[in-house]
Amino acid sequence: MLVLTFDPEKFNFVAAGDDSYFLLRFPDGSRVMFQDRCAHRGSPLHLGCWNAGENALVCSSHQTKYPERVLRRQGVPLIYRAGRVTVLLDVASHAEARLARKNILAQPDNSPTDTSGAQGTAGA
Amino acid sequence: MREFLHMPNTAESHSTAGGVAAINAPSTPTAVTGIAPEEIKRYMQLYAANPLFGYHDKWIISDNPYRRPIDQQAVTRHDFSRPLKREEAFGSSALAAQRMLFNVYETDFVFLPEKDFAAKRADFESFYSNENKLLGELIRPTLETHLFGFLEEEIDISGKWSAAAVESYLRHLIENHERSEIDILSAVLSSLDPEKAALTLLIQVAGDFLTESSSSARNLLGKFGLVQSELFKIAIDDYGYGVHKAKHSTLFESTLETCGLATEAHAYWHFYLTGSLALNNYYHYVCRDHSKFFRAIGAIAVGESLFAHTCRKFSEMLRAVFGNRVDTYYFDEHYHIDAHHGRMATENVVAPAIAKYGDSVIPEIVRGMEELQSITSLADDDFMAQLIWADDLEGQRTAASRIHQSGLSQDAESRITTAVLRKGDPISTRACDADSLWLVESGTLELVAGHDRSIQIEAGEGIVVLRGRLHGASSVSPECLYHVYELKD
Ligand code: FES
Ligand SMILES: [Fe+2]
Ligand SMILES: [Fe+2]
Repeated sequence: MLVLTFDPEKFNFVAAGDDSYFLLRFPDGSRVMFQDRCAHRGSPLHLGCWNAGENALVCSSHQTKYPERVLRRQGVPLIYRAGRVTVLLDVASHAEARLARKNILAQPDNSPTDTSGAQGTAGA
Repeated sequence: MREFLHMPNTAESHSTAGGVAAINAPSTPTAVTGIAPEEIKRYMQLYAANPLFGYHDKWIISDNPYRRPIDQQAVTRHDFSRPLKREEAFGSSALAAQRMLFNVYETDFVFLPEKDFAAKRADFESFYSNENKLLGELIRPTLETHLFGFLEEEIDISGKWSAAAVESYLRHLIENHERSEIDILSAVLSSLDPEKAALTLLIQVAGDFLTESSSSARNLLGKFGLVQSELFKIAIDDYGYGVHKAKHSTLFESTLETCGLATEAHAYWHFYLTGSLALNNYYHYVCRDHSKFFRAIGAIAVGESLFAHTCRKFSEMLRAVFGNRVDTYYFDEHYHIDAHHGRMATENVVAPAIAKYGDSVIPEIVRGMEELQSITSLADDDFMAQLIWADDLEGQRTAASRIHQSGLSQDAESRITTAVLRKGDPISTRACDADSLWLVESGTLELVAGHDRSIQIEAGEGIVVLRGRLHGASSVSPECLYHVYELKD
């Protein structure tokens, strides 16, 4: 597994191995990292939207729902401590990981995230 | 619309089985239901008023493990009913609370003086009395939440953890640690006075090493199968297989002795930094409350895994500072044995516990790993800040005279106190919540920043005491009059 630590204020997206992952921040400050591939037909989930009434992420393609509790349980193993996020990605520990900042449309509080497209390489 | 988990006609349907249910740990109750915070506060004052915890007349408390001064004024002044923030971790309230909590925890252990038991028998009885123990137990949850509540906020664990993820994470921590020089040891070596800095560090760890493994030994009794026996093996090593000379704390006594330090438990009570007390207390906090058992094994796995490299570097530091006269065997022994302990705690305790009790215990285990790292960094920050300040007492005296001459900050509003100290008055160490300017009007004041670290301030002179820095004062002259002002910026 690849262990990656980063500043969640700077980055919210990781590409490693054949997969990508996006970070969601809940209103209580807790965070979840989820694979950016819908279990249905593989659409990028970060382009979904957040349904506040149902407290679920909804995939933009065919509306598969991912309730918060599912995101929390099925997300990538994640530790948030003192302003840093550490995730364990199921790719080889020497795999290269690319960090980025994207506009996560599925973000629960829907606060606009900038799309300046900051790029970085993982400091594991 | 489809609900994930109920997707018809798809082969890749997922299930939450094996997903982690308990994401966030339950928070600690602050008190017994029905007992109001004011009542708890009253118990704290009663607890702290025990003469055992009153001021002492010497900086080193010689061979009396029951005498453990607490700043009673701080206990009266502060509100302990809310969790402190991390930024408040070295303040006056934190210091008083850590001292109380340490005393509460340690009444579970046997302490006996080296000599002259008869003269200390009354203290022995008072320390272990039901009154002291019951009051301690009533105030304990409030103190724990006050001191460790911030960890609930600071740390969050999510996702689908597995035993393999825990193992990868631990390995990652060990690899990173083994590449590091260890900041506190570098700080000692680059100190203006490495010998005194090294003694300060030895004093900080003595609070734990002289009673080595007592906190984790709280998790040895009961009935919990294989894991219990594995924990026992680690404890047996620490206790030297019953051979007193091989007991790890005995080895550490020799290190202290060869550096000219006393070996009695808590002789340097006055000089334990708040962060060092926090680290000791943290182990008790998770090991004493068995509902935190999984957190405790996570913390122990990290602690044991990282200790081997720390000990190797510690040993090198001691030899660099003291040369051949220091006995580093305690650290050399740990360099060898804790490589095993880390593996034992990971492979034989954490992994079988996950296999047997399920993935839902993992967030608690990982939380323990994180909390220990968080508290360790707190202790390290405190130590390094104290070192910098204690190295610079001359500079702080100069800074004080500059502020004094500028006439700033010495108005009546910013005056915290005016006091008269007499030679031989009872002494204590404290920490303040703001930077302060001390000005001596008459007599000579000795300001103490640690064991064998002090500066004399003559009439007309002053010194700056930074917020959170542990300090004490005594009068060198028959009498000394001084004023303390709060520095606003
Ligand atoms: S790809 Fe997401 S719902 Fe079909
Ligand atoms: Fe040991
Ligand atoms: Fe050990």
